[in-house]
Amino acid sequence: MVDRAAKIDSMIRTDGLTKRYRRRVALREISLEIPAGGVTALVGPNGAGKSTLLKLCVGFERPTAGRLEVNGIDPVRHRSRAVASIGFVPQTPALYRDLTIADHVDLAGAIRPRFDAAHARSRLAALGLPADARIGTLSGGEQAQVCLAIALGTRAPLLLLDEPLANLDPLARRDFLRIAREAARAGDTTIVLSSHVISEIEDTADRLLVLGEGRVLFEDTVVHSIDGHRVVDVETGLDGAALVGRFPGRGEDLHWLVRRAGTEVGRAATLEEVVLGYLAASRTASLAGVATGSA
Amino acid sequence: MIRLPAVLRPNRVEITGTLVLAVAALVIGGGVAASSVIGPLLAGFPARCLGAETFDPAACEAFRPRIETYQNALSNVAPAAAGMTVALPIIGAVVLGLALLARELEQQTTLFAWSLAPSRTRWLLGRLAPELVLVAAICLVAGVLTDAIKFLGNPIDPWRSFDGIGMRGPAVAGIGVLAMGVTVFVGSLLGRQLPALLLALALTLAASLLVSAVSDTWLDQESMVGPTEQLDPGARQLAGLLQTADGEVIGWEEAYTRYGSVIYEGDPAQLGLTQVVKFVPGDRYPFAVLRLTGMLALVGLLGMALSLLVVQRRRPWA
Repeated sequence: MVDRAAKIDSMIRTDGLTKRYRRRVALREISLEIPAGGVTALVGPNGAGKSTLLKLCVGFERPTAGRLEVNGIDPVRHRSRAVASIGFVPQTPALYRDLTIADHVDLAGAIRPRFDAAHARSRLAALGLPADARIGTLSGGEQAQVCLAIALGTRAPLLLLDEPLANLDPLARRDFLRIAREAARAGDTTIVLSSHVISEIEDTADRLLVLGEGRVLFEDTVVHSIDGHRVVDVETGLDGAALVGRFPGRGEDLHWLVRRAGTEVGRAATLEEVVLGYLAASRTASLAGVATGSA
Repeated sequence: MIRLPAVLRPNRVEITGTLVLAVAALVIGGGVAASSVIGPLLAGFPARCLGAETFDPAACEAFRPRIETYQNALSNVAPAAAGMTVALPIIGAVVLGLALLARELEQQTTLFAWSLAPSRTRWLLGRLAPELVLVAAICLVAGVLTDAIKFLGNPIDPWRSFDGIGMRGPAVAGIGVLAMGVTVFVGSLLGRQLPALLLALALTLAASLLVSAVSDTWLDQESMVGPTEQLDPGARQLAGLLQTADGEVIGWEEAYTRYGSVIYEGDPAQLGLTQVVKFVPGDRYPFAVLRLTGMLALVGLLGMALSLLVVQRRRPWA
C-alpha cells in the first residue's frame, strides 16, 4: 500500500490490476503510477491494453483483480466521484449525428455538474466550428475536436484521450494535439493520451508509458526516455551495451535499442525507436516463452 | 418552434414521431367520437337518442330506422378507429422506449453521455420521466376517445360497463406505460434496436395477457351469482350456472353428471333447477379498470426500475 501523500501526487495508480475477457487477458497484474500534471502518452500496439486501462478508469469496465485509483478514487466503488473527475474522449467520436454542436454543449451542461460551457464554446469558436453545424456534417477530425472541447469544458483534473488520433488526417492530428498540449500547459489538467502513432505525440507528451501484451514494458519521462537510450545500426557496434531489443528499420535494415550507461555507442534514439525497441523486446520474450511452452 | 430541453434533444425525432402518432390517433378517434354529434345531424335524428343519460325510448322510437342506419355505418368504422386510436400511442411508447437505451447503446452515444454524467441513474431518469409522462398522457387521451367510440350510439355509461375492458379507458395508459417500460428494459439488456423491438413487442403482448389473466382471476373471486334478470347491461358475465332447489349452485357439467343428458334436452326447471349467472356487476368497472391499469403500469415501472439497475452495471456499448 502507498502513503496518502504519494496518493495525491498520482492521478492514476494501479496495483496488480488485471482485466480478463473470458480467455483473453487484456491487462496482467499491472502496477503503475501516472503523476498529476502534464501529458502522459500511453503507447503500444493494438491489443496492448491501452483502451482497457482507460475504460477501467472511467468506470466502463470493472477490473478482474487488483486495485485502481483515479485521482485517489476507486472507480468501481465510487464511480460517480471518479467520473466527475474525468473528461473522456473515445477513439470513435460517440456523438449524436442529428444534433448540432451547440446541442452537445447544452447536453453536456445539463448532465455534467459544473460544466464550463463557455470554455467549451470558446474552444470550438477558436477552431472555427459553427455552433449550429450538425455532427453528421462534420469530418472525423472535427468531431474529435468537438469531443475534446467538451472534455475540456468539464474542467476535470484528468483527461483520458483514448486513441483520438487514430481516425484523423495529419493536419487534424496536429490541431488536436496542439489543443491538448495547450490545455495541459495552461493549468491543472493531467492528460493521458493513448496512441499507437508515436511520431505525432513526441512533441506533446511529457511522459511515456509503453504497454505491450497487457504489461507495462517501460515508463519514464519523454526526455529521459530519449536520453537514456541509444540506437545501434550495426550489430557489431553494440560493444557490450545493455540491449533492450532489436527492431526493424524503415527499410530492410535492423536496429538495436540499447540503454545508455556511461559508454556512448550508436546514435541518439527517437521516441518512436525507444517504443519500438521495448515492443520488439516484449514480442521476442513472448515468442521465446511460447517456444519453450512457458507462455 | 418549440425548443426541447437539452437532455431530451437526442430523442427529438422520436418525440416528434410520437406526437405525430398522437395527433393521428386524436384525429381518427376524435373524428369518429365527434360523429355522435355530426352523425345524427346528417342522419336526421336527435343526438340525445345516442346519449347514455339522455336516451328516451319513447321519443327515439320514431327514428329507429335512421338510428339503425347510422349505427350500422358506425359499426363498420368504429372498431378499426378504436384499434388505431389505441395502437398509435402504444407504438409511440415503444419507439420512445427503444430510443432511450437500445439506440444509445447501439450507436455508442452512451460513451459520450456516461463519461459526462456522474450518475447514470439521473441521466436516464432525466429523460425517462418526462417521456413517460408524455406517453401516459397521450395514452390516457386515447383511452378516453376509445371509451367514447366504443359506446357511440349505445346508451350505456362507459364507466359502468365491462365491455372492452383493457382496450379502452385508463387501461390504454397502463398498456402504454407497460410497453415503454418493457422496451426500455429489453433495450438496456440487448443494446440493439431491432432485436430489442421484436423481443419487447413479444414481451409486451405476453405481459399484457398475463396481467389480464390475473385481473380476470381477481374478478372471478369478486363475482356474484344471481338470476339472469339481475344482469345489468354493463355486467361482465363469467358463466351460466344452475341453482338446485336447496340453493346449491352447480355448473352444467356437474348437472350433467347428476341428471344425465336430460339436462340439455329439456327445461332445467322441470328438474327443479334455476338458471343463474355468475357475473360482476357493471358498477364494479371503475374499480376493476383502475386496478388493471395499476397492474399494467406497475409492470412497466418495474421494467424501468430494472433498466436503471442494468445501466449501473453494463458497458456503454452493445
